[in-house]
Amino acid sequence: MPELRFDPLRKEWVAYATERNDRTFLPTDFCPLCPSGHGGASEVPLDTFEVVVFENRFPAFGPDRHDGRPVRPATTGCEVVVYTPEHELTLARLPLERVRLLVDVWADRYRELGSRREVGYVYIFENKGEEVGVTLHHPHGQIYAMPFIPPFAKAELDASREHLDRSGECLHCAEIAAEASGPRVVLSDSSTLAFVPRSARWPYEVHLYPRRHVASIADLDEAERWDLAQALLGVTGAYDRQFGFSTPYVMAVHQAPTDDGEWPQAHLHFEFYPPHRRGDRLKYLAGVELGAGTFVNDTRPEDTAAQLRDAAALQPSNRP
Amino acid sequence: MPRPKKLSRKEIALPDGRYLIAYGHMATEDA
Repeated sequence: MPELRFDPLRKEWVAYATERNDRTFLPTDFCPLCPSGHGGASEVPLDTFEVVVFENRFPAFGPDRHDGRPVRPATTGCEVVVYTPEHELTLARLPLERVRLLVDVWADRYRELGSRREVGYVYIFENKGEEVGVTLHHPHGQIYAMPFIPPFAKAELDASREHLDRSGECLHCAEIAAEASGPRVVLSDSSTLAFVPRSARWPYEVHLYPRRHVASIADLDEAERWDLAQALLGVTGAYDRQFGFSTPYVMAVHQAPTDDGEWPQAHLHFEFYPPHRRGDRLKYLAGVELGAGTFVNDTRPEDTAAQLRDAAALQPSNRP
Repeated sequence: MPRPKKLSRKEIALPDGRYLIAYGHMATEDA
């Protein structure tokens, strides 16, 4: 059963979930995420659906059943978000209306999970493709309701807080202003901006922001939700066109923690990390990245941004 | 401006006690 251990050298939590080692792995004759009808054997015993969320059968964080153990209890939970009943689709190929619904679902889960006393951070993400370790191909994402603020989000929040205290300005807003008309833009509209960050770790890394300073996905207004849905299709579609195949990636959503703190420096954004450095080569994390914590990038962000910008320009707009 | 969307949700209990929530958008009338 899940537990957390704190590493005093790295000052970070490590999650242990031994049951996950036996979780369903790339099944070929049965999809646990396809609708199976009332009483069916899949995780979704419905005739059909639009978007469903359910508790992960194999959570990395779960109920605390370790009373008295010297570990921080993993008292929170993990959810699976199934984007569509259609097994062969991907986020990039969903209808705009479905992505718009997904934005609302993420906002609802952020509010609900974040309202739980023990949840410090609602981490929404998607692993797509076997290259990043996905075990089920059916289009889906995940949500970890974490009892602490994870290190990457914490580092961003700390940096943005320092900048805010020093200048009175959100660091993310400053980045948006700096990138908005620069050479690393991938796509842009009235309320969203996507760009390859100046110091991207991954060759085709993209950060997607709402231009307005909003702390969480729940704070987006109606027009911004449509724009975000369109931009999500734009970024993921650009990847597919750039590489000529359904591109694997990790999509990470960074937003305000849900503990009792004040987070004026938090600015919602999506980060995409595709593992490819070119169509036929993967970027691996190896000695320098894993052992020293320093990324070596074989491409210039300005060059990969130009490629993705050209690919994004071919994205049809199908807004109602 | 697109019409506002209203989220619908239906929660059911799975046989092993976990929850499942089916989400959709309610039909809205043209303004």
